[in-house]
Amino acid sequence: MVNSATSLSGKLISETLFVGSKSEGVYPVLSLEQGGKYRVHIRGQISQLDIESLSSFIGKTVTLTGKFVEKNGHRVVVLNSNELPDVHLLENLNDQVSS
Amino acid sequence: MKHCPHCKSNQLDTANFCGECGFEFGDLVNKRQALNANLNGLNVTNDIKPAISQTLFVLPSFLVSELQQLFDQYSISPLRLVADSNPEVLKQRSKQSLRESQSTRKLRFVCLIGGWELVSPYQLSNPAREDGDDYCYSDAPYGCIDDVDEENIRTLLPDIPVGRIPSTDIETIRRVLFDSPIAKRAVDAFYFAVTADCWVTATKKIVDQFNGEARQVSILKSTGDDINTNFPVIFSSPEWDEDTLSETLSGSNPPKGAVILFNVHGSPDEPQWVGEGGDGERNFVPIFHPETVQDFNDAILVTEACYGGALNFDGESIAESFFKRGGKAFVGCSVIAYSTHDGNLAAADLIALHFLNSLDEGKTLGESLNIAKERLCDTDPEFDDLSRKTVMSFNLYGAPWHSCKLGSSSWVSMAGATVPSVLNTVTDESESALDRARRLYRSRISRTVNRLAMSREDAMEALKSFREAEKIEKLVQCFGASIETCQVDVIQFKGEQSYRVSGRSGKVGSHAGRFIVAVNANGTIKNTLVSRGLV
Repeated sequence: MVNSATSLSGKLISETLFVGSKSEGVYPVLSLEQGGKYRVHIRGQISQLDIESLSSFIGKTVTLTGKFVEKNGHRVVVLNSNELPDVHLLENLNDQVSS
Repeated sequence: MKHCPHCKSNQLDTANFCGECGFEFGDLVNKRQALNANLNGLNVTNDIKPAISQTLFVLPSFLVSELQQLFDQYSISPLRLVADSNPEVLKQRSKQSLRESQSTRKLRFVCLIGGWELVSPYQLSNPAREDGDDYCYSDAPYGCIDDVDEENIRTLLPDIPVGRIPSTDIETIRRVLFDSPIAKRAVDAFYFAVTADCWVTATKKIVDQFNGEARQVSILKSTGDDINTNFPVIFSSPEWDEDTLSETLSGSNPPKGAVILFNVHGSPDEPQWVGEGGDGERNFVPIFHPETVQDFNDAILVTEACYGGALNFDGESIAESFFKRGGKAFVGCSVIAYSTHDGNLAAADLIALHFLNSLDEGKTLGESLNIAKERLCDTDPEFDDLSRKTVMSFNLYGAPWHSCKLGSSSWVSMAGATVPSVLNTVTDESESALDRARRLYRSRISRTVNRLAMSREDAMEALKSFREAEKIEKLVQCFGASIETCQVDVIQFKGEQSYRVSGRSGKVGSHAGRFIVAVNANGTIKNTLVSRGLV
C-alpha cells in the first residue's frame, strides 16, 4: 500500500533490522510521537547507506515529508533527499524560538 | 496526423491500425516482421514442441490472442491456456485446470506469463517472521496439485515444475519459449560470479563445488587484472563496483548461454544490487543495475540477493530487465534471503549450488529448482524456519523445460530416453511419469521437522552432556553471549534427533545479532549460522 506524500514527526533513531538475514544492518528509523515506526529510505540510493546520509539527524526530533509506504509488513518512508524540505529538524526550530 | 498508406485516410499519430480500412502500421508491423524473420530463421527443436504441448500456460486475458497466434505460427498446440483479467480469479482457474490436466496425464510444466500485477504470486506466511516480512511470494503453488500446507515443507514443492516469463512483450516471450537450449554443460557455460567481499568464502565454495577441483576459478579483487585471460572469474566488491563491472562487461557480451552467479545485497527499496567489504567497515557500493549488461545473450542467472527476484519495485526490476535484454532464465528470492558468510553453506547458498549442479546433470530449469529446494529440505533441519522461508521465496523466471545439456533433459527422459533421471527411475508402466515424480518427491520429503523448546533446566543438562560442550560454550562466548541465556531446541527429523542452540548477542559490533549452532545427537557441532558482523 502506498500513500501520497505526507509529513510525520518523531525521533530519528538507528536500529538493527532484518536480523540474521543477508540484509541485516543498521538503518534509520522514524519513531513516531504517536507510536509506531517507519524505516527511512532516500530515493535512488543504496538502502544500506541511508544511515550515513541521515547520521546528523540521529537522536533528534524531525518532521519527514515523503511517501509513507506499507509493503509486505514493512513500513517505510521514502524521502527525495536528506535535506529540507524533506527533513525538517524540529529541535533547531525549538532552539530558535526559545532564544 | 499520419496517412494510411493503404486507403490514404488521416489517422492519429498514435494509431496502430487504420480506423477506415484496418491496415496495420507502425510498431506492430515492425514487430510482426521481426517475428516472421525470426520464425523463418529458427529451428524449433524436437524437444520444445512436445514440451509446449504438455504445458499449462497461465496468463492475463489480453495476451491470449497474441500468444495463440504465436503458437499457430509454429504449428504448436499448448496443452491449455488459462486466462483471466482478474489475478485472483486466474489463480482459482489455474488450480482447477491444473487438477483437470493432471488427470489426463499429459501435464509436464506450468508456465506463467506476465508480472506480479497480472499473474500474482501466492502469498505464503513467512516462517521467519523476525525479519519483518509478512509473506513470501511464491509461484510454486501454481504447480501444486494439492492445497499447500505452509507448515509442511513438502507440500511447498510443486508436483509440476513452474516457471514465469515476467514480460508481456511477445518477442521476448517468443525468444524465451522457443529459442533452442544451450548446447553446453552448465559447468562449461559458467562465466562469472559477483560476490560481496564479506561473502567471498561462501561464494568461492559454491563456485568450486560446482566447477569441481580440476577447474580453479580465481577471485578478482583488483580491477587492474587482465580478466579476459582469466574467465571464468569471481568479481569481488567493493573493489569492483557497478562502474568498473559495467565497463569491463561492455567490451563483449557474455557468451551465449553463460551461467552467472550473484552473492550480493539487495533491498526492498531499489532494484539495484550492492556489494560490501569484508572488513566489517560497512563499505557498501552499487554493483549491479538493471542496465549494467546490455545483452545477456541467453544467459542463466542465479542471485542470492535479498529481493533479487522481486518484481514489485517502483521501477523496472533486474529480473524484468534481464529478459528484456536477452536473458534466458533467472532464479532469485522474492523477499529477504539467508545464507552464511563462512564455508558452511546454508539456505540461499544451497539453492544456488544445487540448482547449478542439477542443471549440469542435464535436468531442466524447473526440475533443477525443485531438486535444489528438495535437497535444502534435507539439510540442517535445525535451520528449518529459514529453510522453509528459502523454499517459499525462490522462484524460477523462464520456460521451465529448457536445459543446458542437449538431449538429456529429464522431461525427454520421461518420454522414454535412456538418460537416468529422477523422474524415470521407476519402470512401472501402469504409473504415469507425473505420479512417479510425485511419489518420489514424497518418499524423500515425507517427514516434517519437529522442533521442541527445552525447559531451562533440561537445556542446561543437555548442554553439559554434549560431547563438545566446552567448544560450544566457547563458541557462544565468541558470539558475545552466555550459554545460560541460549535457547535449546530438540529437533526430530527422519527419526533422528539433534539440537539447535540459539541466541542473540549485544557484545560484538554496534548491534545485536543472531546465531544458531546445530548440534548432532552425539553432541558434536554440525554447523553454525550467524548474523553478519558476528565473526
